[in-house]
Amino acid sequence: MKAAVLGKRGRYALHGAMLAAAVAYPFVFRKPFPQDLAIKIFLFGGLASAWNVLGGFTGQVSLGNAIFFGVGAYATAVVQTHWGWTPWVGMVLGMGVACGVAFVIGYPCFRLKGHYFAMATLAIGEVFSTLFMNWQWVGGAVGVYIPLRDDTWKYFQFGTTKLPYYYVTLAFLVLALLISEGILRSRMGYYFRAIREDQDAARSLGVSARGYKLSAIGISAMITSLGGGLYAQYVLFIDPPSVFPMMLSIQVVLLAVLGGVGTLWGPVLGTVILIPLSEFTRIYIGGTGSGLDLIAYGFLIVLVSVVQPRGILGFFRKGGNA
Amino acid sequence: MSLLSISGVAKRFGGLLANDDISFEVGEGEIIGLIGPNGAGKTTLFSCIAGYFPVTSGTIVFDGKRISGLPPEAICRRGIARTFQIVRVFKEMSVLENVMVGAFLSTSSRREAEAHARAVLGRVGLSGKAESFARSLTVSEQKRVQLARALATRPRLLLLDEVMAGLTPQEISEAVSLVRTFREDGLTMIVVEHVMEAVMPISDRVVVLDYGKKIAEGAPGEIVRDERVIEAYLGVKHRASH
Repeated sequence: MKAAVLGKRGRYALHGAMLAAAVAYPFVFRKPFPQDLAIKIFLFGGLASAWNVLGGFTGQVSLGNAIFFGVGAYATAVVQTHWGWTPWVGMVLGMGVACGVAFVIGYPCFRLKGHYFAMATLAIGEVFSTLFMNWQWVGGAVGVYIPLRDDTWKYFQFGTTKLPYYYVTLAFLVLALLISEGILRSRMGYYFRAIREDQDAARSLGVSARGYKLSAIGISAMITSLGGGLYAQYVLFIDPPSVFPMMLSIQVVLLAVLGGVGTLWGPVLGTVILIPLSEFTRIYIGGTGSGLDLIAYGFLIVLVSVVQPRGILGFFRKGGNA
Repeated sequence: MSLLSISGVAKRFGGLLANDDISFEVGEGEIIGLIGPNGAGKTTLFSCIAGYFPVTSGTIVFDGKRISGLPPEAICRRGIARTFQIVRVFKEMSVLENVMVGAFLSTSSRREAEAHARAVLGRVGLSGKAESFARSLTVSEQKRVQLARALATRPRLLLLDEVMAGLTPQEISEAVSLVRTFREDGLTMIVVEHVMEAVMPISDRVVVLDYGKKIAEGAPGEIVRDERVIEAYLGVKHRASH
């Protein structure tokens, strides 16, 4: 059941206040750095939530979500360089392709359980990176430069202000959360969690485990792919190491697990803590070249997993899903 | 016409023939006790009926349609629900949510599923535990969660796998009267137990398995006097007298 600390009205008020604060934030913090930081939080929060649909709700730990991120980024970039289409079409196309790729990966891999599924997705992630590295039509190792334009919504490029990116990535995070909440409140969410808890028992209650796992990976892939498309538009240059990195696949898992895996807000909480931490440690101690920032980052993850394996949200709740 | 018809079912695991040419019929509204010593193949037969194992040979027909070969979820949708011998509740979900997963089979509305699940929980006496996490319950309560979850799918045939094993005598008598109330609703049941005392009072007919074969079938009163059944449970006479 929902751990309803607040009433329904209280939750709406809290969410409204959070959204209002997020909307007002760039007018208070006008410098590029804090705005860039927030954009990263929104983007990673959405990616971590997308992973959470598959890994958290459904219990299928994917270590290959960078595949979908990369597919979305490439689709968005390539429709512009090859056909001159708007990136918005590329993002939609990317979501479709990512969903198809997810089914192709999921169909055989969902025969594997537990660690074996994770290992398979990890390996397939590396295959995709290598594939794009050698695929000349999409730029190969050189990557893709998205042609620069003046500020435009049609081609979603803004050189003079970060605000459009800020609000679009905020909308992306809100969308990811709304989808997650919608899933948790529906039959699908109950089935996802039943599959996570005990797949055979779920099947005995009429749940088509394979069908629902494919739905989970499809939804996760589409949201992740949209994030990839937004990322491509934000940085305007992509190459395989930047959009297919294994580190990204692992990072989304860390964010969700640290915050509270399988919960609605866990991935966002993890992101709000870890992304600034990694940015600040990189800025203040990363320059020494000692890797101290990564050590601090790793230390925090170890600390949370030892003290509260349910993630930071576990400190506030007596366990379970909310 | 019988609701479930098992004919010539065999299940082989490598060199082990766990079920060997088993045939029997289950009529609508009947309660069949399925008994036998440890390793007799009772749970294997259940798993074959419920679709967890494909049968090696033979057919299983439910409500006039062949179900052997179908996956478990399809068999559940046809109206067969089961419990598991080793408790398999959804631990990190509440008791209510566990039962709602079953209730969602017949509705996609969360409100309807919740109402139905609460009604079923009332029947098995778990209303007071609805909001607790399944993992926090005792084994006997978890067994009732499994039962409620299966009932929530509105089955026509219920397969109960050792729901009474490990319960105290007091709990067993509660379970027996609970099972009797299901029968009043016209539910057909196959009850696996290896505790004979638990299964005899509720069964219309008893099927006895030993080493994978059906060795006897009949009314409970006949079964307890059957030579072969006594042998299977107590060993061959002259051996037993040593």
